[in-house]
Amino acid sequence: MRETLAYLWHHRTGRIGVCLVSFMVLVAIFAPVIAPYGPNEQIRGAELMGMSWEHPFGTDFLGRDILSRTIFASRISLTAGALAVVLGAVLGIAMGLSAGSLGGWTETVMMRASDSIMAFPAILLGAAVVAILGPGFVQVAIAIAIAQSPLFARLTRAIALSEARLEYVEAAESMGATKLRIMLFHILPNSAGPLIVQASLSVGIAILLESGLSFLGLGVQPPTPSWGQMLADALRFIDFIPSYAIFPGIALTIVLVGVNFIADALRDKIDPQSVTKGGSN
Amino acid sequence: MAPLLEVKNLSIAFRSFRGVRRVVDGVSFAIAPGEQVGVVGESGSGKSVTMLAAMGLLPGSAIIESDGIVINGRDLSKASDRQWSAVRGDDISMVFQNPMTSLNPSMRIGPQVSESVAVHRRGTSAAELRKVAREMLREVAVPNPDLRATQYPYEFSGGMRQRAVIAMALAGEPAIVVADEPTTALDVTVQAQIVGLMEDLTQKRNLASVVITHDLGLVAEMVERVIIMYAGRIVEETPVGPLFDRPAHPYTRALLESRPVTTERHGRLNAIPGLPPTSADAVPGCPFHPRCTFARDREICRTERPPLTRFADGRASACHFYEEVLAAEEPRTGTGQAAPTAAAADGEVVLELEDVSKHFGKVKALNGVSLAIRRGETLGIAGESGCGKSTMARIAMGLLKPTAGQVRVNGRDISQLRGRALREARRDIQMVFQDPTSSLDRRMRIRSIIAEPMVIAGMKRAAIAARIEALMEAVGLAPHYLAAYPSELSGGQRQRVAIARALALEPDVIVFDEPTSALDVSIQAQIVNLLDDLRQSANAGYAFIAHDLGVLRHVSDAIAVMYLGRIVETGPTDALFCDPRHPYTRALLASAPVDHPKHRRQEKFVVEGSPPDPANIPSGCCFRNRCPLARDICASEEPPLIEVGAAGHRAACHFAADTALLATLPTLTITEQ
Repeated sequence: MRETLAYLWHHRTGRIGVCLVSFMVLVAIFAPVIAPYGPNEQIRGAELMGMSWEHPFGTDFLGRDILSRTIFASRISLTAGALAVVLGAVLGIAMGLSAGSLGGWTETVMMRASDSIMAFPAILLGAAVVAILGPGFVQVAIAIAIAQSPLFARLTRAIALSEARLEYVEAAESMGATKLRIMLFHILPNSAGPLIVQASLSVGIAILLESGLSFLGLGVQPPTPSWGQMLADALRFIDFIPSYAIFPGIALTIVLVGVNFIADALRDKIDPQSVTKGGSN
Repeated sequence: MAPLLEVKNLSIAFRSFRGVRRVVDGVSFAIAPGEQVGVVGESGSGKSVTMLAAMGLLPGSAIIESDGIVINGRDLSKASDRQWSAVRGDDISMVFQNPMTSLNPSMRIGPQVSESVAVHRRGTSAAELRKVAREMLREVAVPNPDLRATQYPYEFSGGMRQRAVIAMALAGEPAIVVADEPTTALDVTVQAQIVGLMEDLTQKRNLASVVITHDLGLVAEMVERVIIMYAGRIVEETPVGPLFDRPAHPYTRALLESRPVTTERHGRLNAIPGLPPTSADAVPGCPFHPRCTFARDREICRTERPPLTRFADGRASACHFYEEVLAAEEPRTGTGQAAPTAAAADGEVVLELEDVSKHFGKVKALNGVSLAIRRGETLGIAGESGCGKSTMARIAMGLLKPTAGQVRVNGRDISQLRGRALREARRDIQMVFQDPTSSLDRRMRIRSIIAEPMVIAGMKRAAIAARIEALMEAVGLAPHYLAAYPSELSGGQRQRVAIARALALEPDVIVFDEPTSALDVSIQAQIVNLLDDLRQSANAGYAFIAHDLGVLRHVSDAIAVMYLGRIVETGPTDALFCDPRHPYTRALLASAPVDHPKHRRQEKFVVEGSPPDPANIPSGCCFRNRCPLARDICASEEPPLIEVGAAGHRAACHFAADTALLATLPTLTITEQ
């Protein structure tokens, strides 16, 4: 872990990624301290104002401070992204690991299931899940998790298949280890590298999906702020108050760029063959 | 004559985010036209990196400094990639170690062979290129070149692929060829064919060659001059003649003494203690002094780097006391202590295979193999790839189920066990794999690796901790390694960990699958000695699978030779080595690299071809299509394994009793013991 952090820090774009993501995480954690107003605090007579000293990002159509809402929205976006990836990874890894290590009908069932999920576009799948479970924060995270699980399932299965050929698996078998033990104690830890890269890439996609679903009104319900929902609100006013849409957009961009830089740097670490331009140390 | 290739004062370092590590330091050498030179060293000695730098093939992360890399009179030390491309394949070319990965799998053999001509002589017509490819394949003795040129690499056997790689290297008519371990990835009988081919080609074409190798036997057969490298420096340079009798550097001497040889059986090996340094700057003074028997406590060895001193025609040594080394008596393998033999060869049978067969669809990997190992006994198993030795090991381990036959461990048939019963039975028989890098879980600490079999067996924590301590001591590892990961250990240390793990549950049988072939010569000797110690203390039966006949001769009480899933000859080690009764055994022994240039064979017995496909085994005797003695009876009748000569010596050949006929086939030159 410490070595991975040291590597990220020595990787040119990795370091930028770490800075950007930790900046947003700090903003999310200290939102109540940083934000000048409450997220839902309405200031009468100050609706739809442009940028000013009192409201650096302006105010929305209900007179709420956009800076404060952007800051609070980071909590929703980051936790939804992280929760979705954790759920998706657990689901996908379980599917892929059992498929890759057990083979036979388990493999057929698991992989056809993941193919079926993959057949649907993520947004459509999200809409379907929300239609069944109803809109809301947790529901959106579950929807995204399901949409992302096939990626983890396929990757885990591929790694498990190649790891299972290595002699240490045979060595464990010859000690009398059970299949479950070999899966959890040997194959899973050795698959960690590529899975972490996949997870870090997925965080970006998940945050984007959450914004997309919120933009469509399927995600977090008002008045709780999320970036996608703020963008949807701003759409009506984009012609005369551009700052309304620009700042949630910038916040989203910062997180996505940061997460992707980290993912690229991690990929360089586990696969030195594909070193990106930023990777020369 | 001006040298073809001259490297002046070459230093190489690699940059990584952990810092800069120097791997080659001040290496200079020259290769004359038509000269055969061997570059010998262990892994990490810088031998391959040096030659890659001499061909401009190092990646951008390498920092290369030199006073010149001159090929054919042109200094290329500051050449661009383009200029290098013009030289490679035309003036200098390379044969890589593993023919399985050095051919493009999706390109036909013909175009690959003629590629360097297509690149260097633009405008050569397609018809001419095809002709070049055909001619080259014919020259490297690939049968039926017209057809073979249109095939893909997967349709070629390993030996044929290496021929194609050699054809590829020679197609551009270079003046010098660099071969990086050209025979290491090949089977023994195929190795002999490739060595013969390279000798013929270099002579016929007046080609200079540089053979990079760790194998002193290969050097004895193939080259005229040897450069020995250690820790990124040249430590000795000499014609091959005096190398074996009068080495001028303690490292060379130690290497020679640590080899197990095929021609005689001897006592414990003279392992070189310690490990080679990890970089050229790691050890102050002479890089070899911590492992040197001549350094003793001499101040100068610890503080001053010995320069490479020329002391005779064509000879040089980088040792402060080379005169003392030269004056020492002839290097001897083995310490002269009695050869370790089994404590008791009359123990009870712990592992017995009876008429075991294993078929994978049409592939008949194993056909009616029977063998028995007693407690305290070591059975060596020799054979080439595809002979079924690994399949047999996995069946004995209960990892594979035999198609027919019984596997008895301590008298109990384990071949039909399943589930929990099978998992418990497996504890009585453990395995040490070839490559400790893949047989140890890289994400586990050494402590957990050694503890794992005991944890699975449900032993108590305190008992496990005590046992781990004892095991570490038994395999000669310091306790502080327990907290390390496998990647922090050297290859030899990792193999010690694998051995400790196999010993943990005090099994009745231990199967060693090529346990030393992934290790360097000096480390191999340490592991072989460790195995000797264990054989005397641990009370188990051992199966030792190896292709290195020197190691087999050293460790085994009895030997079984396998060919195409059958045992073709078996018997006590000395009987089998001194009086081989199967033509295949004779071929194996005759193909093994010699121990000393004085054993260079006058007449050669190299069997043609490679083992046939186990999916398509010939009728009658399985060896008949490669056997020079084959008659009609060999095609019609399968020879049974019959008793010949000494007690327990059996061979499956119709002519096993006809010693006069067998004597027409050369075998090892056995020196008087």
